[in-house]
Amino acid sequence: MKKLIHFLYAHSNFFVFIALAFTGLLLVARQQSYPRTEYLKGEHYMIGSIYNYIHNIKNYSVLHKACKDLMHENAALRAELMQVKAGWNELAEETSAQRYACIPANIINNSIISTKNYLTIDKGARHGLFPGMGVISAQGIVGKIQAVSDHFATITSLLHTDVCVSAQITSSGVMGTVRWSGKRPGQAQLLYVPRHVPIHVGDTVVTSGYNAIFDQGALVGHIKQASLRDEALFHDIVIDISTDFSTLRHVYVVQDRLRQEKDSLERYTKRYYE
Amino acid sequence: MSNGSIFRQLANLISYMTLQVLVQAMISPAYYAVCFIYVGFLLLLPWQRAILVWQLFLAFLIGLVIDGFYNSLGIHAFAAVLLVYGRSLLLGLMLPTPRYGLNNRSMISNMGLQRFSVVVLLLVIMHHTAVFVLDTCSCSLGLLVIRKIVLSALLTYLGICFTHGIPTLLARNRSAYVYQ
Repeated sequence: MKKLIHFLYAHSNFFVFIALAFTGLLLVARQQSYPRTEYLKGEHYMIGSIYNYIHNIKNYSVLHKACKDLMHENAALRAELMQVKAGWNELAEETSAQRYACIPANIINNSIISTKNYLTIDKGARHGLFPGMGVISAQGIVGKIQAVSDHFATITSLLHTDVCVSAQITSSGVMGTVRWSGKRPGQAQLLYVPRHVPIHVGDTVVTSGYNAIFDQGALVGHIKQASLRDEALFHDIVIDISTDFSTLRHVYVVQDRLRQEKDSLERYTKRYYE
Repeated sequence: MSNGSIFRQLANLISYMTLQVLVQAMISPAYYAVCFIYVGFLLLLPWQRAILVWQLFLAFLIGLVIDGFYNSLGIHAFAAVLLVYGRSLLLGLMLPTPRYGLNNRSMISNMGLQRFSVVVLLLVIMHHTAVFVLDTCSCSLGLLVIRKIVLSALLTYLGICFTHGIPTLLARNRSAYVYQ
């Protein structure tokens, strides 16, 4: 026993190293098996505050560009508003006009280097955010809210290998799933488009609105290249993501007021038939 | 370790962590490279066998904090521990122990630019490899990951050189270090 203790003491450096390294790997493995949800709320808050502080300082330097971006966006929205006004009908008033709302937010932390990228925004549970809501920007979709604290929220960005977005090609209306492969930052794959559908390079890909995260028709990107192998059931489609994540500053969180109703109805149906 | 040097290390720690947060928050993110400047603090810790255990714990804690910033639980904690232990092994190999052990203030910053560069680059590449390989766990290891590792390692190396001050490195000659 004495010898054992002596041995352990003599090689304590090595054993401590092994123990700590193993703990680290264990944490990594645990996070791989199920994505982080509520880990370290206090730290979340602290880090959020730090980023918020820096963001406020940094904001002055980019004010000009932000203003320009907002003007462009305003112009686009006005154009859209005119179209809606022109084609106004009574039916639309009941549902879609009131169904979605946008909550504006600023990005205070953003990473794009890893294969699982997250963003942090300066709005949280206090502002009505909860996990699972969709996030869009003026350029296109951004991601989905992963966790919220009182004042901040983390978003799994579209550049996250576990995020799938239900999408459709505008010209043919065919459905598919957009997923980032973790390789090229500006490009994602459009999966599960059956081989009988003709694909044209340059077609626009938008969200389908089926999973109640994004509203229908939010821009995802454009088809860059498409190929079809002889034995494959689906096309291999690569799309250019329209959102430039490296310059993103302002986003909108999509609030779907009928989401709960839709989800509970679907859950009820599922339980009924299974 | 005397009290003075503990305070100095503490100031070092705070400044490096601040720098890390600033680098991450102020500079727009790039697709292929990232600067993990906090590595500099761990590399420039005084090298002593007796306090290695505490340095390992410290590295683990710092790694966890950095993980909080990058939303990657465990990856930086592992890489930082690996870095500190690897540094101890590498310095042990490079430097003759008896002469070295007597000197409490032996830092790799006393080495002169050449040795400093070799040690720092090797260790930084090891650290970044651990980070990016763990990060891409499920994906295939492609050229893209290697490019990320190499570019980021260079960026971090430049960052460390910059913060440490190349002039001070050049000023100390190697003989002064060996026979200190």
